Amino acid sequence: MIAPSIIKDLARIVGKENILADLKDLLAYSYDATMRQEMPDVIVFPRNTEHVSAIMKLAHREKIAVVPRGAGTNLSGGTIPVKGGIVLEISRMNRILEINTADRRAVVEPGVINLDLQNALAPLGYFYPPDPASQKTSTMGGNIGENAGGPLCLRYGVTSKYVFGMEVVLADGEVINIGDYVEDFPGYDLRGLFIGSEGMLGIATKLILHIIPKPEASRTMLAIFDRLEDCSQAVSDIIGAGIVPGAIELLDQKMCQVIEQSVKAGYPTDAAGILLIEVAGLANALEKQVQEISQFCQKNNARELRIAQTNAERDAIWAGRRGAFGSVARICPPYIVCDGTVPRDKLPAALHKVGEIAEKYKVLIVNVAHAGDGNLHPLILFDVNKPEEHETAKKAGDDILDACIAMGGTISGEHGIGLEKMNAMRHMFDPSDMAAMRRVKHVFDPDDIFNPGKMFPPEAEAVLPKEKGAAR
Amino acid sequence: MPTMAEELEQTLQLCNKCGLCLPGCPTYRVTGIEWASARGRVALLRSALLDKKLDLNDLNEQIFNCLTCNGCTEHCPPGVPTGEIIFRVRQELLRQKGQPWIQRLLFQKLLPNPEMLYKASRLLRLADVTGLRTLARKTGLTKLVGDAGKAEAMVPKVPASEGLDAVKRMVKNIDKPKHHVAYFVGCYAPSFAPERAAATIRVLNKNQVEVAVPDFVCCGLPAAGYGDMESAKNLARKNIEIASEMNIDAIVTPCASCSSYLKDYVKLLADDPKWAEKAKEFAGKVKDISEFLVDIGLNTEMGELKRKVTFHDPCHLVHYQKIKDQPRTILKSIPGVEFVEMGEADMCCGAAGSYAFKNYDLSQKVLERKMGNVARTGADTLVSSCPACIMQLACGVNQQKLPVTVLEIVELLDEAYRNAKGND
Repeated sequence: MIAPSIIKDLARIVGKENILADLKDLLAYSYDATMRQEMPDVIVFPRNTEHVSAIMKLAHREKIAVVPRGAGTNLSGGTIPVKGGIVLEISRMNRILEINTADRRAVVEPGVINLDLQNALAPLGYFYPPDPASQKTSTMGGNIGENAGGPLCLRYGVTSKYVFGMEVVLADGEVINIGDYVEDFPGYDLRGLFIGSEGMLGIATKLILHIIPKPEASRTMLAIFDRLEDCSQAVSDIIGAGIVPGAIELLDQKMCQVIEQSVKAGYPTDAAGILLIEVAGLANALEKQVQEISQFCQKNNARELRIAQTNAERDAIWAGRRGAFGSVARICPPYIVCDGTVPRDKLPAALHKVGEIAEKYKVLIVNVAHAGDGNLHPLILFDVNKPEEHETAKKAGDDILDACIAMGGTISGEHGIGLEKMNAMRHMFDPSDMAAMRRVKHVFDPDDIFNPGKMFPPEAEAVLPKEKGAAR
Repeated sequence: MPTMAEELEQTLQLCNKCGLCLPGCPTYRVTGIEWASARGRVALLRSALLDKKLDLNDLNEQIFNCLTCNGCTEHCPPGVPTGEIIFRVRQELLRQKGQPWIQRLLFQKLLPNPEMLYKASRLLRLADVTGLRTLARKTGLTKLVGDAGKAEAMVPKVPASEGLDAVKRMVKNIDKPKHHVAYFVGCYAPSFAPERAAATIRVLNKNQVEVAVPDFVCCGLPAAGYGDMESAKNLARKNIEIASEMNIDAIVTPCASCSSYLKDYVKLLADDPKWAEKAKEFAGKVKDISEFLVDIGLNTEMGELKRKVTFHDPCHLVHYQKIKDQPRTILKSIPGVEFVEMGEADMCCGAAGSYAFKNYDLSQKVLERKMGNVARTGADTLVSSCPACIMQLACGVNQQKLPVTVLEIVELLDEAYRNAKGND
C-alpha cells in the first residue's frame, strides 16, 4: 500500500481527472490477457513527457514500483503489477505527431494504437510493417516493449527494425533521447536495449518510426498437404531458393477443423496441414514467384494449390488465419498460446514433438505457425473450471518450450517473457548470460522500480506470484 | 430460481481478457479507461458477482455508462454479449431499487398509449410557443436537473401538426400494389418529424408497396434499456396482437432501434408459452426499411441528386441486425450521389436512446469523435437510419458548425424520387 499523500502528489502532477484509485479501478488494472491477477495501488494517466518525468521522480524518491501499461493485451503477464505500486497508463498519450513520407518517418506518442497508425498511413500509400495479431488494440508503446512481430515480419522483420529513435524517461525521471530521426547512430546504439525491454528499463514517451511504401501488388496462395513434413519442406525449399514471401503461415489439421467450425474459410478439414503464402512486390515480378512457389509445393506433394484471383478470394484465404485464435476462443475461451521458435528446418520435428506432448498430457493442442520464421504458436486448450487441467496445460507448454530450446530454438518469438516464461529463461541462458542482463538493468534502474519481478527468475529458487486460478 | 450471478456465471467466464474488444468500445476510445471497456465491465462484474470483491452498487457508473452499442461483441473472439449482460444487470438493479417515478410514468403509462405520448409532446410544444423553454434556459432552471438539463439543447423543436392520426391521413391507396406492409412508425416521427413519416410512405409507395398504419405502441426498447422487462413484454404483446389481425407481407420501419427490438421479441417472449410462437411469426416479418427495399428490388427510377454523402451505421442496424451493405447499396444507386465512407462508420454516435440525456459529458465526447470522422470525409450530407442517431448527429453538426445536412435515408430517397423525370 502506498500512502494517501503519494496519491495526492500524483494528482498534483497530472490533475485528479487523470488518477484512479478506488477499489474498482484497482481491480480493472489488476489483469492483462493472461490468467494472472495482482492489485496495483494507483493508476495514473500522464498526458505528456513532463508528467511522466515528474511521476518517475516521485516514484524514485519514494521507491514505488511503476508498471508501464498500454492496452494490456500482452500474453506474458508483463503488465501484472506484482509488487503493487503505480500503473502508468499511456492510453491518453495517443497523438500522431508527424508523418513524413519523404523521410519515411512517423513520430508518435506511445499510446497510439498500431491500427490507428496504419489507418493514418494507408491513404498516403504507406504502412508500418509489424502487424501483431493484437494490432487493432495494442499500442505502439506496448509493441516496442514486447518487440512485437506478426505475419508480415518474415519479409519485413520485427519491431526493432522500425524504431529509429525514442524519447525515454528513465527511472529517476531524467529524459533522454536515443537513436535519431536520421539513419546514423554515433556512439552506443541503445535502442537494442530498450526495444523489447518489457517496461523494465525506462518508458518511451515519443517514438520515431520507420514507415515504408505499400508494395504495388500481392498474390496469395493456399497449399494443401497430406503430410506435415511436406508442408515444412516446401517452406524450406521456397526460402532456400531465395524467394522472400510476405508471409508463410502454417495451420495444422486440428486448427483447420476448429476454424471451419466458425469462420468457414474453405480450409480442408482432412489434410495434415496447409500453408498460406503471400508474395508482394512489383506486379510484373510476382507471376514468376508464384510459378516457382507452385513448383516447390508440387515437388513436395501438395495435393491442391489455390491461387486467389480476386481480392475477395484473397480475403477469404486470410479470413481463416485471422480468425484462428477467435475460433479457438469460441470453443474454449481460456487457452494457452505457446510462443516458441525453432530453426526453420526443424519445424516438422517441432510439430511432431508437440503432437507427442499433447498425447503425453492428454490435452488438445492445435497449431498455427509463422512457418517462414520457424515461430510456433501451439494453442493448448483446457477447461477453465478444472484447475488441474490448467496445471497440466501449463506443464505441456513448458515441455514445448524445452523442446524448442533442445532443437536450437528459443522460448519466445514475439510475446515476451514477463511472468509466464521467467523460469524458462534458466533453460535458455547461462548464469553468466543472465548476470550480464541483470547488470544492464541495474545500470538503468538500480532500485528496481520499473516493472519489478519480471523477466528474470529470482536468483534463489523461483516462487512465481500466486495465480488466481479460475478467476481469470 | 437461479440468482443473477448463477445465471451469468457461464457468460462472464467466456471472456478470456484478450482485449480485442477495446477498439470497438466507444466509451473506452474516448476515455482510455479500462473499466469503460467491455473487458473492464465484464471483469468488474465478475469481481462483484462471482468473486464477491465488490458490491454491485459500486459499479453504477460502469453499468449505466455502457452505450450497449454491441460494438465490442463484433470484435470479441468468443463473442461475449456484454450488452446483454449489462441489460440483465440493470434489470436486477431495478428490481432491487425500484424505478424512478419519471421512468415509471414513461414506460408504464405514456409508451403503451400513443395518444398520451402525443399529448406529452404537446407540452413541449407549448413550452416552445410560450417561450418557457427560453425562460428556463435563461434562468438556469435547466441546470438544476443535472445532465438532463445540459442535454436540453438536444430536445427537438416540436412541429405544429403531428400525431399518429396525422400519419394515418398520409396513407394513399396505390395501383396494383405488389407488397402490403404495416408501417411501424415508432414513437419519434409522429411527434417530432411527421415529414419523415410522410417521406417513408411516399418511398414505399414508389416501390409499389401499399402501406397500412395500425395503432402500434412503443416497441419496448426504452423500457428494457432501463431494465423494466415487464413493461417491455406488455408492449410486445400488444404489438403482436395488432399485427396478427392484419394481412401483411412485412412490418417495416425506418427506425433501426425499433426493427432491432421488434426482431428481439423472439427472445423477449421465449419463456411465455402463450406468446412464444406468435412472437416468432411476428419477428419473422419485421424488416428495416433498407433491408426491405433491397430485398424487394429497389425502384431506381430516380432523379439526380448532387450530393456527397456519407453514412453513419446505427448500432441497432449494424451491430444488432448485421445490416451494413443495404443502406450503402441504396445510397450508391441514387444517380449523382457521390458516396464516401467515413472512418469508424460503425462506431456509436453516443445517442444510444436516452443515454445522451443521462450521461451527457461522455456522450458528447463520443459525438465529437464521430463529428471528426464526418468532417474528414468532406461530405455535404450525413445520412443515417435511426431517429436517435439523427437527433444526436444533427446536434453535433450544429455544435461544430459543419456545412453538413443530416438526413434519414428515406428522406434522401424521397428527394431522389421527387426529382425523377415525369414527376411533379
